[in-house]
Amino acid sequence: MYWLSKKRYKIGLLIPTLLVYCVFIILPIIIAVGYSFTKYSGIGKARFNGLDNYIRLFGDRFFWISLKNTMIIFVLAFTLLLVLSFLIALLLNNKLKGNDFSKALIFSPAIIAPIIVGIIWTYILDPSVGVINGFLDAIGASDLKQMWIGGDTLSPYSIAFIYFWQQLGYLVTIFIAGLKMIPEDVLEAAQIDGATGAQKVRYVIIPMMRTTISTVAVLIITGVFKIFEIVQQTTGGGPNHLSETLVTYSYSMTFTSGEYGYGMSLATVTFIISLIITGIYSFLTREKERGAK
Amino acid sequence: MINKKKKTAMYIAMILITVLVMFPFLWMIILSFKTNAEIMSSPLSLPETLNFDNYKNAFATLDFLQLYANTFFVCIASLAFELVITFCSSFVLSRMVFKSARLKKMIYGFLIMGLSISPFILLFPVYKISVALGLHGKVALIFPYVATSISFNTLLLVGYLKALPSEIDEAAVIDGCTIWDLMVRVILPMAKPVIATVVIFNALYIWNEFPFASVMLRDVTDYTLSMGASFFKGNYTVDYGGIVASSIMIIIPELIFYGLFQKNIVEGMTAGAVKG
Amino acid sequence: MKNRNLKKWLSAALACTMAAGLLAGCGGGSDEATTNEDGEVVIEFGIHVANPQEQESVTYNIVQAFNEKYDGQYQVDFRAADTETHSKNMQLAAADGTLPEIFWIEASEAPEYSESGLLLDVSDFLSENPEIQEALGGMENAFTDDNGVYGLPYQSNVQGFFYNKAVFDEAGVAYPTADTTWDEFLEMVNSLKAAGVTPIAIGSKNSNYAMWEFNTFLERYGWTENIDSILDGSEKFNNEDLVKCYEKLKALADAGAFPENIATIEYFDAKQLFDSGEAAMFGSGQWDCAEFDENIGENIGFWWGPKFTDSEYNQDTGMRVPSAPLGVSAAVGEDDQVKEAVYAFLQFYYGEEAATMSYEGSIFPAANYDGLTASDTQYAMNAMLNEINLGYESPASAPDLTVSSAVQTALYDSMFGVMQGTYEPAAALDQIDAALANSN
Repeated sequence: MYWLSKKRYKIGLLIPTLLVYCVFIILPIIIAVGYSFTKYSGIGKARFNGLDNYIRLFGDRFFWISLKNTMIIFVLAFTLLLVLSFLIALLLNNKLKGNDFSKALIFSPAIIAPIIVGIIWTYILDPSVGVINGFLDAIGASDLKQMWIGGDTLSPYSIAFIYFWQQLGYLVTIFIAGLKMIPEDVLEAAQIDGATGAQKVRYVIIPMMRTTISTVAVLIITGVFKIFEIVQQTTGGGPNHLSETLVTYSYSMTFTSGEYGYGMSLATVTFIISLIITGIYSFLTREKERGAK
Repeated sequence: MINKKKKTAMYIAMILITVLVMFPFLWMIILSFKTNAEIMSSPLSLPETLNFDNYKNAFATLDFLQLYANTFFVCIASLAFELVITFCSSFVLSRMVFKSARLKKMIYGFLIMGLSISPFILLFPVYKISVALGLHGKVALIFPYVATSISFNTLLLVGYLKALPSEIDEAAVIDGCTIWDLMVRVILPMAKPVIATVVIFNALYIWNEFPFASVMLRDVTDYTLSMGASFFKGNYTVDYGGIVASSIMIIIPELIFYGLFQKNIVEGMTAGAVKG
Repeated sequence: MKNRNLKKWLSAALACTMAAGLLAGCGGGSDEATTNEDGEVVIEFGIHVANPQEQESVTYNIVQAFNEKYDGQYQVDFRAADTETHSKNMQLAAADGTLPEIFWIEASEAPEYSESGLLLDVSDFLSENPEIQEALGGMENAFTDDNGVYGLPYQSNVQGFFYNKAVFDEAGVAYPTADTTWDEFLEMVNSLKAAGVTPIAIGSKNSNYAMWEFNTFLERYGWTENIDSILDGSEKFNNEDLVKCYEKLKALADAGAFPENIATIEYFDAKQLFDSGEAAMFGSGQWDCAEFDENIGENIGFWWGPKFTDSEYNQDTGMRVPSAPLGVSAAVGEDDQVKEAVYAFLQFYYGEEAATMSYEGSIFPAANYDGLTASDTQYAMNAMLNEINLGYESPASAPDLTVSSAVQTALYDSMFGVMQGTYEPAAALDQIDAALANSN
């Protein structure tokens, strides 16, 4: 390969991607970050105001609420998705009749437009007209009824669950793919050595799927920080911004309140937090890989 | 040998999970047969009659042919463009030798970083850049779609291509292949599964994408499918029945598409996302 | 040799990008032609719904009538998108000089468009058409600043409580009247609640702008009188009057006046509650008249709102106010041909013929002409006319439209915050003060 790795090839082949990426991703980010140091309504001229937006941000109660909500969603969705999609993948990887069909069905939520996902779930979770509370009433367990969405506390948990539902099939598919990569003979060898199912998972499957697991983890982390339509459709961030996530809060500041500059400072902070978490994650997993060697 | 009891338990689990996951989906189909008033005031009830008014209404309001055509155009153009460029760049990042391994890692990390960006941050700036470049209408959607796909494609393609044994390249070089031959004739055919995966995920993304479409498209004749729902939402009115029915119309081709390529997705993932 | 190869690769890469660029160039070539192939001067009308024929049918019909009347001369085309997208698109279009000739503007954003020099001063239009100026009856003053008249009201909004007489009858509660006081109103809410109906349908999800009925509350606690001194900093939103006003919202919330799921339903769902007879009252405006004629018919009633005995401000106030404005792009002023077409359209839009069409569609036009009435089956509009005939004074502008977007959002948040129990009245008002401080 070394012979063909000439500098000009590398440059020539990389340039189109880098060019598009820089012009349509990096440059816009720079512009957006630039606006975060200004006071700008979206109309007329932006006025530089230094760090004012960032100072305001740290004193903004709703920023902290949306950060807290985002973290709740992140922790919950991350755990649920990583664990359950792995287990379901293990299940569906068995030779079961109809598992292809089942796989396709489980995947289907991932192809519904997120706006529709939000609408559907509103009719399931709504405290007065939703299916869940209606069901609880019907079986005489009205005491268990909750403000699943729209109350003071449960909204972020519900949103995490909806996100879980939407992403499940997608991640199961990736995990199944990973499981298919494990050579049969390795598993057979473990079987002969008398490993139980749990032991096989613990000592053979998980170590062999490290890359798959990190891909999935990165997709979950970056995905959580982009959740938008689900919140918008189920609670609209309400009541009174209490169920806002970082993304929806910065959207509402930018486009509803017409505070483009401040909205962009929120967006910048969101982006940085997401990068940091991804960074921490890759750092931790890298350590582990080294340890394993 | 898996014993019978265990197998039964597995079947039950599988069916239960599938049903649970499908429930909201079925719910939506039920909603699509209800009148707007029924949806809003008694969402729990089943539709009184199987009425197709929402679908009729959706067909009367939306020019589906045009919407499909536009979406299809944007989809194909973006896919073609992004596949060419990301295949090239991923080839470099996965199979070529860099003097400085760090540089390679940095470029890779730089390209992956885009995964964590919420698209609406980009809306204003991307719009301004497109205007400055003289891009308008549905064509203006292509670059943002290509750009936002770069990170995901890089993640998958580099992962996959890296996993192919390096002996292939050496053999090819010894046979006197140019780099072009190597890429197009040798590596590309081997990368088919992962390319299928990339195509599917990006096609689904583009099919459902709303934020960019809503900002870039002005002319109704340029509208893509995801804009369809906005036709049912006025300032003072909303037609949920219409939204749900038109969404189902949007989903059906996706389901068919997914059904056709289901095997390839798993296969592509098998090697793509997975082995690095 | 080396160089040739390099060139080959670079050019391949460039060709790739260029090809797409060219493709783009072809598709996007929209030359700024003022006339179409029929020799008509084309003007664009940016409207805040995606499907004007269905969602703003009165305006749609007026435009069609105009196009017919001036066939071969002028042609008005819609640039249509749902409200949120429309507002975003207009901001973007403002940045690159592609604003449509005429467009609907969110009232709270309009002053900024004007200050940025994006809007044409149409005072010459008004002076050339004195009968229209008279018909507007001063409503254009809501959109006047140092740059002149930067917008004309799209329509005239009449806002307050709609009520369903059948629901009141069934609950054995008397209908509200012009003299119903706050205490009586609260009593009414309690009785309705006891009878098992939702007293007031309202929803806050993505629609906390839907607080029209409470504009009268604000007004009857001296909003218009005090807003200038609040905005210039000499007063606060958190003042004695508005605290009293917000305490009323809290009392309503405590009495269970609002739906339990206020936070997860939208304005549309709330309206559905009212349409289906599950709620007794609903705050809204003339735009919903046609819908109520269809669903509630002769049982519909309309009411400005309760009178507050603990307020020293005028209680004989109604809420017939200019809606969001139509603005004319400043660029129109540079092309006489286009300007002529735009003015011809405005003349038609604010003329008597269009006003008649408007009444037929149960919409109060901004320009009002003598002798226009609703037919007997336009129940909701007639109910409104009854209330209008009380002759109460209306403010120049609805309270929520007198402040900038950021303050407006805070106002909405604070009101719904109190209604949903997340804020105490004073704390809610502090939020608006904070938003005002941030926006200066």
